[in-house]
Amino acid sequence: MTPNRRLDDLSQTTVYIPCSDLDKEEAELSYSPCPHRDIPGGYELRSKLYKQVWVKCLTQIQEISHAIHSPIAFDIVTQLREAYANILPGLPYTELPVFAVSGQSGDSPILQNVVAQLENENAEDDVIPARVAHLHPADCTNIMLTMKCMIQGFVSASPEGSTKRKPTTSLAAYDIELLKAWYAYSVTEQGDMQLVVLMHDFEQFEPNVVQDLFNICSLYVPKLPLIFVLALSSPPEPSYLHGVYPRATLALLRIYKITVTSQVEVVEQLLSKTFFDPAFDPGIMLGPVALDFLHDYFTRHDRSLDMVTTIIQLAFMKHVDEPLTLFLFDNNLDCPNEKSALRKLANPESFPFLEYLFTRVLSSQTNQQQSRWKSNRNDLSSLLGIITDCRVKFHEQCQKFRIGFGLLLRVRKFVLDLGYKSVESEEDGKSILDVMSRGLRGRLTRDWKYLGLVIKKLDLDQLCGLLDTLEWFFADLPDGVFEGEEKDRKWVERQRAALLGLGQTSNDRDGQVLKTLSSEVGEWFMEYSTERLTYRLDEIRLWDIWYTGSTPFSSELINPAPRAHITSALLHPESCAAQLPHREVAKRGASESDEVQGELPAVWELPDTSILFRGYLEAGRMINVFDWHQSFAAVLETQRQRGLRIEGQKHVGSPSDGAVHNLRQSDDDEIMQEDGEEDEDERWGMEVQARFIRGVHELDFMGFLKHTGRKPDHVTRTVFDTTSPVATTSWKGGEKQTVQWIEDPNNPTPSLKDFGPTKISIYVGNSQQQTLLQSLSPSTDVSTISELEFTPNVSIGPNSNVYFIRFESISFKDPKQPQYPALAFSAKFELTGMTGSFSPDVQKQIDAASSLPIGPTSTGTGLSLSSSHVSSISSAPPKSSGSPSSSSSRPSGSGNAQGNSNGALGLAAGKFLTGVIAAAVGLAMVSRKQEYRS
Amino acid sequence: MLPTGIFVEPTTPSRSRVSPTASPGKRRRNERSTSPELSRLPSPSKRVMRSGALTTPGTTRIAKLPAHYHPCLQAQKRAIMAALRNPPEIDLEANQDETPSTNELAYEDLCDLLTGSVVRGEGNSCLLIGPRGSGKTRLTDRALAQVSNDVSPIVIRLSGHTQQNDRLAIREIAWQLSHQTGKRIALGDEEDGSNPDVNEDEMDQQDIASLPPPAYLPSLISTLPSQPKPVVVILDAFDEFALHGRQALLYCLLDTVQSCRVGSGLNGLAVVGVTNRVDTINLLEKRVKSRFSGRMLRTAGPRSVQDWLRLTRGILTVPLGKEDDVDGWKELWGGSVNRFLEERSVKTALHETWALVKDVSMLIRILTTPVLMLSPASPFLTPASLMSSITEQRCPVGNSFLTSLPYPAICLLIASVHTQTAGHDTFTFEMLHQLFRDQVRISIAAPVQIEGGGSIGMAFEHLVTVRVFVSVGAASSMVAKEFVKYRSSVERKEVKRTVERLGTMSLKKWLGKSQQVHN
Amino acid sequence: MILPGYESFATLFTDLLTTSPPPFVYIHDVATPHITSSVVSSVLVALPDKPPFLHAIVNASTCFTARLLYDTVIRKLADWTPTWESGCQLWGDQRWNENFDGFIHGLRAISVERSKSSTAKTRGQTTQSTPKMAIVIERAESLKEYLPDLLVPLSRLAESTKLNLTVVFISGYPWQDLRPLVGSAPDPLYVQPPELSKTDTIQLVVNHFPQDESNSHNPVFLPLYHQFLSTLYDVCSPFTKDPNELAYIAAARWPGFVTPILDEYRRLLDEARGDPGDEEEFELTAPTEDARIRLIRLFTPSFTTALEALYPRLSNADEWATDNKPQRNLLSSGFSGANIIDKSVPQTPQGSLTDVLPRMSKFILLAAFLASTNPTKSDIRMFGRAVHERKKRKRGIVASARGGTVKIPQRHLGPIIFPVDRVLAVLGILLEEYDADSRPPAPEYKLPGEYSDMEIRRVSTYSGITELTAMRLLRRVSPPERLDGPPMFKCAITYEVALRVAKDLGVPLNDLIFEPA
Repeated sequence: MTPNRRLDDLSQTTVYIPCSDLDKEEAELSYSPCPHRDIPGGYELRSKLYKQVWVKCLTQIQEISHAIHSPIAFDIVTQLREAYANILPGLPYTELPVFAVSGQSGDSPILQNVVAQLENENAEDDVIPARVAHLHPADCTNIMLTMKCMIQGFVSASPEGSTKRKPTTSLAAYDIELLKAWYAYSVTEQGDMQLVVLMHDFEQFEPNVVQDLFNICSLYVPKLPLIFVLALSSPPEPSYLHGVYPRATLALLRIYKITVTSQVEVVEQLLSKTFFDPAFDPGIMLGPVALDFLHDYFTRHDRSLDMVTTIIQLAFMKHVDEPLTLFLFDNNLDCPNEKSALRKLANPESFPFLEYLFTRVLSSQTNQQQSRWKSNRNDLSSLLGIITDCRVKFHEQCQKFRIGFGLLLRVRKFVLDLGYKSVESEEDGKSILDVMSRGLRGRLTRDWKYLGLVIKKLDLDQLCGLLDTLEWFFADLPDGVFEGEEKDRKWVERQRAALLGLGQTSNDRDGQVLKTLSSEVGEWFMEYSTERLTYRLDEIRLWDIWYTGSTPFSSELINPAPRAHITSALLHPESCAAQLPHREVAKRGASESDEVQGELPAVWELPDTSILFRGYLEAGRMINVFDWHQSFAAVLETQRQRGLRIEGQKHVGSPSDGAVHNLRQSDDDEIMQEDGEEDEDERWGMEVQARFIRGVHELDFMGFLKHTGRKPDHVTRTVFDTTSPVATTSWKGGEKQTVQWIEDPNNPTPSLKDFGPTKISIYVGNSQQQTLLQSLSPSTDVSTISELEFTPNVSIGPNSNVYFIRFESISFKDPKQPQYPALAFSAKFELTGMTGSFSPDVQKQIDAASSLPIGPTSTGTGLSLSSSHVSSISSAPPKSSGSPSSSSSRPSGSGNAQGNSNGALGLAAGKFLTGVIAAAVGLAMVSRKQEYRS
Repeated sequence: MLPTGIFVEPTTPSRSRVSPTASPGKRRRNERSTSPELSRLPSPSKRVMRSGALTTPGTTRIAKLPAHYHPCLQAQKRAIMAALRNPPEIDLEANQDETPSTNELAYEDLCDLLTGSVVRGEGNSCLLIGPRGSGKTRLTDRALAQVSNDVSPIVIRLSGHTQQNDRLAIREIAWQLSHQTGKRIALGDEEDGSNPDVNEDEMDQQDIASLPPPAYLPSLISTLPSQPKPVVVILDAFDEFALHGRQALLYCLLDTVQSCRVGSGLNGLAVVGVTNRVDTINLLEKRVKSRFSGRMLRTAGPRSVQDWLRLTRGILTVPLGKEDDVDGWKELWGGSVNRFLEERSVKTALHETWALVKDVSMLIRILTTPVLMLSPASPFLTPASLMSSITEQRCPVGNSFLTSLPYPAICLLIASVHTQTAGHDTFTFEMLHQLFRDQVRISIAAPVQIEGGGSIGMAFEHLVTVRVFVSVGAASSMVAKEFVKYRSSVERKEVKRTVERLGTMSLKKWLGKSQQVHN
Repeated sequence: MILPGYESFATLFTDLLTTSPPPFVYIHDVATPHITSSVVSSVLVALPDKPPFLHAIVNASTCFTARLLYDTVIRKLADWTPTWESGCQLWGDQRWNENFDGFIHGLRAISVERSKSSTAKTRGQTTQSTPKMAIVIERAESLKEYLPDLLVPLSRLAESTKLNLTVVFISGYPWQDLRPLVGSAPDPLYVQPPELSKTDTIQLVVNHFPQDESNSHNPVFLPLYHQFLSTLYDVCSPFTKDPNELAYIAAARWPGFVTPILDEYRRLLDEARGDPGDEEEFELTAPTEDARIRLIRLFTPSFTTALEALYPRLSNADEWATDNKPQRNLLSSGFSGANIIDKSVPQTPQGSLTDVLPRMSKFILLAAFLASTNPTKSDIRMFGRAVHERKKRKRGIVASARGGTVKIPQRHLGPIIFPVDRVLAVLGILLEEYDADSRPPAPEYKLPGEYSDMEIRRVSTYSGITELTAMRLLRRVSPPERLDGPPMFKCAITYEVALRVAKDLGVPLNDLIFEPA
């Protein structure tokens, strides 16, 4: 620990300790997401580009949101200004005006805006100036402090600041008389003013304190023109105020509820103005997938603008992983001019990049071009030329799309306002966001067809209105595109003129002319949109430079499941390790797991902590530390026997490097000196113990262990993240049950595919001979279907726990004994409520079973039915992400332990990490939100 | 009333000697006391004949008071009120041949004791015990006045109610000393007037940082005998001082008292503890008790109903000042008072009151309102007014206001009764509301607009504010207000009576149901 | 001026003060303490200033520290207003607000100072030099809250100051509830305020009628206003008799009530303008009797709605008045329908919980409600998808009339506390059962339920919980600094709200509640 980092400093809330050894490596190798086709320093260049783009978009977004918010803020301010102006006559007493602005968390832009508008001095002189005092829940723990905060907020802020008060013989700092005196004075100084008290995070205030506050203040209105503004984060309905405060308090207040426009429209505007506005070029176009994800996440998880911006930002970041995005703006790769750029490309280091580029370009060439290309490969400049062409093409196509889309939206809005139901009205509540994504996918045909039909049905003045809107639309277009649309604009104008003529000279018998006109407009509209909206952006060559297209957006980036990942990391360190060297966590995601499943390492290959964790999973509620240590030692023994060197990369994120080092040590010693066996052993013992302790502590830190005072040398599990037990599964006869199965990861041959169609039935018996009691399904393809519902027949036998389910493959034969079909067995389970009985020989078989145990091991097949697959509650089948169950390798002794975990959801709760991590994650999330804000 | 409960009849030897012969004495006294009035009785009638305004004084019914008496009435009222503020010493005008009353004895003893200290410079300590309203304070004041005729001592008055700890007491002693001697007493806390603003807040939490350190106590007390004049310390609510930490103040005081010897050139010091707890002496720690002289003087309220009545009469017929006495008023008024006191109902009422509380202050409070009610319209005391004021003063919180409760509130009351029958003494708003809803559902009689829901909640809050429903356990903001547990402070019988008085059929039925369930 | 209904009380109180007042008076007013205290203050103000009579009226609810109390009382007695320029200096040359002794000294100082001044004025007779004082403490009940140990000293103030002063407590609580258990406090003289009759109440409200020449509050309407009020009183009196409340409702309803008349008046004016006649015989006059009756009949139903909306302050008078304007020309158009409200659009509570919260938060809220309402033991029975179905669930507890205590359903006893894990578990099931089809496809999750299981462990779920807690829709019960053991929560939404959320999500709530309503 470097001395400058003070861990014992209590004032620090967090201390950052960089992982020193890692960033040493970082230093030399420059990072690149896909090194095999990148130019040196490419990533840095691209991140520069990214910054450029993002800043541009961010400013745009902020401007838009500000534009949306300021009018709302203005309304609020105007209401505030006349809070005391026109009070209903005849009220028995003056109430305290209170503005409850709901949907405002902490420092909301709107409230900031309000405060700014209130406080700016150079407002027009007819309005009364206002002073604002801020109250925060943190420093208003009791009424005295609250009053003090409020009064000081006004008094100290004022220019005629603090007069000399003697602490004891003048008014107390929390005496509202003080405020009164100050107000009287400052009114004489510079005219009257309003006193606005802004209470942030109103829900966090102690209700009784607030009651007192209101109570006191209400005695001083209107002598002191106090106005309260409450920033409520709770929804206006049901009202927090009415829910919490008694009538006595409410009667003092005149509450105005102010609800800010719902975030949905804001987001829609924001996106349409950023990505679908001809007047603005975002640089990188957002693809439908990202858009859909944004929409879903917005509606499902977090309705905040911060979240939206963050998602866009992430999409951009990820986009620039693609090396080709170097050509985002121009072809000179951060060089003064294209020449040097060429030189840069010519540089052998960037050949892979060049190769990739060639292939990409070639792939989309016509043959003769290709031949021309093949002829002079080193004509890089023309290559760049092509890129330029693509850029231009993409941009104008994009522009056209935007215009068409904009028009579509206008018309759509117009039609909807006329009261027609939107085309997609059958799936209700579809927002513009869907229209956008559909547009990007080029699937708007239905929409504009529909709209066109509607247009054809329009009557005279409706049509007029439509044409007006169209004209405005064209008028609004920025100059750059304006010329492009000249033709259509002219056309529209002509139509309108004609229509107007029609309007004046109403010599239109039975509206023929109108019909023709409207139909013309409809036609025009259809083909206009056709030409603009059918063309998909990702059909342009090299589209993926400027367009995120349909690259998947991994939710893991903003919405990870840390707990599950910890567990899976412990269960399968190798998969994490595999991901680490080049970090494509996003790309690979959970779909990784099945590849990894291929070569699963044996237990002894795992790092210590994982080994311990395996043991942990097999134990009961309470773990006997001694037994744990024994099993651990056993595993290490194998490790030692193998005398293997564990490669480093298996170890990233696992603690036991040191341990491995020791291991090597010990092995060397072993080789060197044969004689000193016993002290060698004892050293080994010590090492094992050390490694054990270390591993246990690792788990302890991660919150997997809880120390118990009750039983000596036992610790309590906090996680029951595993499947429900085998032995205690009990079913009731005559009721529907489900049996489920999956691939057994530990010995994947034969796979479910090999197994294919399978006969599934209830059996009893032993490993040699079994008797069929009830056939559940003659033929089920276990590789496609993963569960089967059935009803045990009550007559097949007595209440007993000797039943099991036999899977008999119809086609596939057991590799070891080809004469038999491949078999697989479930563990035994209990059936209750049975009426039947076993025939004597069946009973014999069952008795024999005790000597001849049954189970996956006895039969050679690899298809294991791990316990959860026979589970009577599948309430929340406990699987950590993408991690196959480890339970088949569990001694069934551990079953009874989770036997009690089987039942109550109260304990299904036990499935989740308790305490530490839950809290920690909560914290983590809060901090995440902070950084979104920033 | 706790203290009077503790207080036992005065057991001074004199009292016990008196008691056997008390009854004849009293009788005699009565005749004698009443005789002058008897003799006086005819005279007003004559005069009234002349004034002609009143047919006969016998009718105190609403008879118009002649205008020239109005000022007298006002004056009489004022006088009586004054008398009520400090009632006349009836025991003094008690006839002399009787053995003097307890208060008399106490007075004499106290005077002796004080003169002992003030004149002869002794150190004295005593305890003045008597029930409230038995004139302890006035007695001490009189004694002090009596003593300070010749030498006026420094009087330091402390009250256990105000000086709630020794440091406050020290400060106060110092303050009073410096005010009476005129010279500044140096305490450790001179500069606290100019405290920096920072510790303002602490000061607000009744901070005692600005108070002198307890270590200062002995030195201050020890200066008492060396004051220019003898010092008399009067400790009101002595028992409270006994509750202070380690009884340091008492210890120091009594110790100084004990140690100050006559002729040592120092002035005397007297410590008079005043309390209404008889067992105060037992509160003292051993070391304190051993320094206490153990002298205990008793005061007592009126000893018998006669005294009580006499006191009443004395108060009511307090003579007017010369300037506003119109001739004839005295008789007229006196006559009315006599008649008032002769009324059977009045007599019984006063007897009852006496039987309940032998506290003069109660009598005073009872008399106040009727006297205030007097007006030219109804110039004389009426039994009715007395009765009303008695009920008002003696048991102030009748649940009379229950009838004036809003309708939903009554419903809630009934609901609460139902919860009690159901075996839940505490209830939440939701429970009552549910019961109420059910009732509304099954009975058509309940008014419909009540279903607004709002008003019922409001009614509940109203009941809470008027303390009909008292919340059990500390109210915390964690509990939503509709789930706070309450219990009803109103008896089932009360509710029954109220509903009866309201006489709404549906409510009666509803309440009746709970009765059936109940028994 | 003395408020109607309070005359006798006022005279009595005046006499009490002008003669030699008792040291401690207690006014216990259940119904309308605020009015009583206003009467008292008016009495005090009306008192003759010779002999000098100092008084201070203090609202105890504003004095949350002893110092404030001392400062206020002394300031008012001395009637002294601190100014900003003079550094908000308090009265007197030394500090009186340090402790009760200081306070007493302060009082003495004031009386000395006053008696000096008074004698200075009235040289000649220096009789009764010490002025009388009265310290009135409104809302005395809050003394018990803030300054409990000042109650006894205050009640004995006269005797400890040896001044001729009176302490008057005005409170809605009985003295028995205030005074400390140790009976060291003297018994006050109880003064009963009168009970208000209907006429008194109406008169009180009429006093609030702002008589300006403006149309709606023209004096000619006073008789109409009386009638209006008496009807209003009849409607509201079963619920509240508080004059202030009545005045509040009246203020909200009156403008709408007179508009028809004004419309009529305006119409007449216009007609007058129409024919060449001079307008000034069209004085604004009180309406005819039958017009009144019609008005009352038309408006009476709206009185009830006004009561329902305004008495619980669901809306404020101003807004309500604007929302409930009657139709134009109600009188001239022979309208006699039930609903006279102009635009009878019940402005829908937009931005309600259901459309503000994101979908996940709604599920969390629902899960929390279930976890707070169902007993823990019942979970497996309620949620376990063990296929013996809902019919098998015998739920609730039959109210056992036998054996005294009847079981109260949890809904009425308030939410029970649950660990975060439990709500997550319930959430998992809700998601699996009712959300599975609406969420985006995720091929990587093969096992049934794995998706939901994943969802409930995601960071956004936890953040959702924290946000809901910040909104006080959930309450965190365990202190945030405690790391050991799961954080405990409880749900803070009512059954009705939960129902709405459930409806929005398409979850059959009543099937999931252990003891359904």
